[in-house]
Amino acid sequence: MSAATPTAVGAGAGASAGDSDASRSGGVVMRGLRLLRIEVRRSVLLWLVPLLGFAAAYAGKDYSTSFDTVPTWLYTSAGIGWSTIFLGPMVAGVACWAAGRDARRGVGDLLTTTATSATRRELVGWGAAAVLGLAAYALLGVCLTTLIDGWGAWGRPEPGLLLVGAAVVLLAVSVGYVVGTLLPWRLLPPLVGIGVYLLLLFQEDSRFWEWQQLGPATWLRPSDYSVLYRPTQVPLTDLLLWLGGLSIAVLALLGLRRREWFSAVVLVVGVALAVTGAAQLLDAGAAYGYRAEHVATFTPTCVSEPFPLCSHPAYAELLPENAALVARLLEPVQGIAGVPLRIEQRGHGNGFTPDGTGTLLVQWIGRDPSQLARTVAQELTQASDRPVSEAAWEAQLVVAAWLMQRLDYDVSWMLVGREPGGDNALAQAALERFAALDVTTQRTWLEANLTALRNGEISLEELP
Amino acid sequence: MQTAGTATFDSTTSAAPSAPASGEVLVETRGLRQRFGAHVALDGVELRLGAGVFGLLGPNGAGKTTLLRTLATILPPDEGEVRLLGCDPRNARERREIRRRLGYLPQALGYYPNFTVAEFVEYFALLKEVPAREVSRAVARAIAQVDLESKARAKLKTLSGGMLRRAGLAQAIVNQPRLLLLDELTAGLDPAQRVGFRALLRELGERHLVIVSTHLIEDVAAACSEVALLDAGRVAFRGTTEALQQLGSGGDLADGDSVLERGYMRALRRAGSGVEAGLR
Repeated sequence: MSAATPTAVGAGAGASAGDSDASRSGGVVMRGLRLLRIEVRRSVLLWLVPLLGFAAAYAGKDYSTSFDTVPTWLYTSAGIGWSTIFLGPMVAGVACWAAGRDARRGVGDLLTTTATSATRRELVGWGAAAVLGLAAYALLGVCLTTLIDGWGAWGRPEPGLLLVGAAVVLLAVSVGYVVGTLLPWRLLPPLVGIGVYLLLLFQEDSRFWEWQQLGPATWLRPSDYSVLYRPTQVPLTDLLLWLGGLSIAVLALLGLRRREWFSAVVLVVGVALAVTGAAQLLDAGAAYGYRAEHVATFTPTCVSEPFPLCSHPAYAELLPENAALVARLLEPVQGIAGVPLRIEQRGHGNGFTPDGTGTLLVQWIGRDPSQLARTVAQELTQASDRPVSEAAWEAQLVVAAWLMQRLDYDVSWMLVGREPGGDNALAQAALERFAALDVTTQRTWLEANLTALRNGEISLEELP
Repeated sequence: MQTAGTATFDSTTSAAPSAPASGEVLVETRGLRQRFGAHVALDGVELRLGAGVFGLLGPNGAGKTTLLRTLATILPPDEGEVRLLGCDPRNARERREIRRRLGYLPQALGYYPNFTVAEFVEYFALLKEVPAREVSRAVARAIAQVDLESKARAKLKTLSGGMLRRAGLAQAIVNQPRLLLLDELTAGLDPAQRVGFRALLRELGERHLVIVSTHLIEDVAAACSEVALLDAGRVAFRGTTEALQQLGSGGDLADGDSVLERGYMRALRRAGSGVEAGLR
């Protein structure tokens, strides 16, 4: 052993024996940061950050790309935030495991003899878990924007949506950490992860529809975020009050079990914040969803060849392919009255403008151009503003299917039947009969009957 | 026989509390009792201790660890009074002050396998509220004192049992405690390491109060200025190591026995201990 003299760190000895509270309190922040640094560096979460970020991105990617839309930053921001329903449970489980470390390692006695209060020490541990949870969230965002082709291609990130995702991560970390501290059982972390997952997804169950507005995923569904609407007025403050209040209330339990009066105050504050946010969210839910009132105005980007097609600028790169397919779709009906001369993207509803210019308004233009082609075929054959008989509707679908079939798409699913079980044999036969006609006969019939077909005046049996 | 610097114990063989002849009283217990259900672990322990190295001897279950855990402010006394470093551990504010100046090494050291030695010691320095500007130097010094500089960056899970014990001691002394409690410090160490630890104990005892619980008589002989022998929660013997030796002197020694060991056994017998095996 070394014979170093105890006075080598004389200030340390003196300080430990008698330095003032004032000088100690000055070092509280610095000591806290140094503890945090050690905790972060040696946390089990550190190793799992890449795994968690990538796994959540992979899960979120499948959901997010199932919608055929343009991945604007608005959509991407919501997608990143929404993916926390996968990241949150994972982070909660790992935080639960990390919190049980002291009990598993039998360090309790040693820690008890230190001057730092157990609550403060646990908050440092929580801080490390939170830092690493947020790092995983950041990685999730990077993965989603780089792995998904074209994500974040237009506009700018929406901080509000990203912030809600961060609040979900912090809440998950808090729940996991506190449960792991109070109940340091080895088998608990996966159960905590599953529990948090169910809590985050409970709003998907229609039985709880009244409470859906309390679920963060309700507000973050990527499919709800379109540049065609004015950016949705997410009740950001209410969401943050709700999620943040819950986090604070949960963390207060750490000190409350030791009957620390300050923790009781923190608990009351957290609950008050959460209740305030929840009440406002439930109110806001009633107004949510009526997006038609918030249609965005924008200067469209257009192509004129091979078919005049205009869209929101975010969709500009999709225009050539979509215009080409629409041109091919409308080729057999070109020049017939009632056929669109121009197509323009708008925020809500499909249909012709009433100004007689032959402008068809459509809502969705997808990366798969068949989506627009199908919409155009249906709008061409069906006047959406008048009710028609089932027989007439079948006739309309047959002509729309015929137009799509010419483009080599499978159209069997477009046809419906009146027979029990939806047997569409009659409609299928009518389609085959119409398709077998020569081009001149088809055009002649359409010139004479397209308007009547649109108005529902021709039944399936009346098709040639 | 080593006498440690400024030890201020009296040299009686009485079990009654003895006041330090001079200097500050760092630990004082009066009528200290601890119970675990029906089992009485400490039964009216009275101590007054100043700086020096104080040995706690006794058979298994005698209450040594319970006494150390009580003095380490882990267990609040069931009965009686305890004053540590002039403070009352029942008072939260004073307890915190005690803990700033306390070092503790438990018998079974819990540790974080992924921490390096330096991180482990720094972690406890920070928790013991060593001033932030002093932490780095204090850590380096503590690691040097236990002769672990070459392993400062090694993870704890890679250390041998002896090295872990040294890392544990480093965290205990990193705040230069005025009261250092060591439970079975030398258990599991090889002879060379034990010799080194005893030297360190003597050095620490020159300025502070070091209470060492041990099974090893030779530790007491080499490092402690005074000992207490606990039996069934009571102080069966209290005095200097010379007094314990004196108790063991006279008559022939059996093979391998030391005078101290015989003094230990005689003290137990005199106290009416149930530990009879080998008593002469």
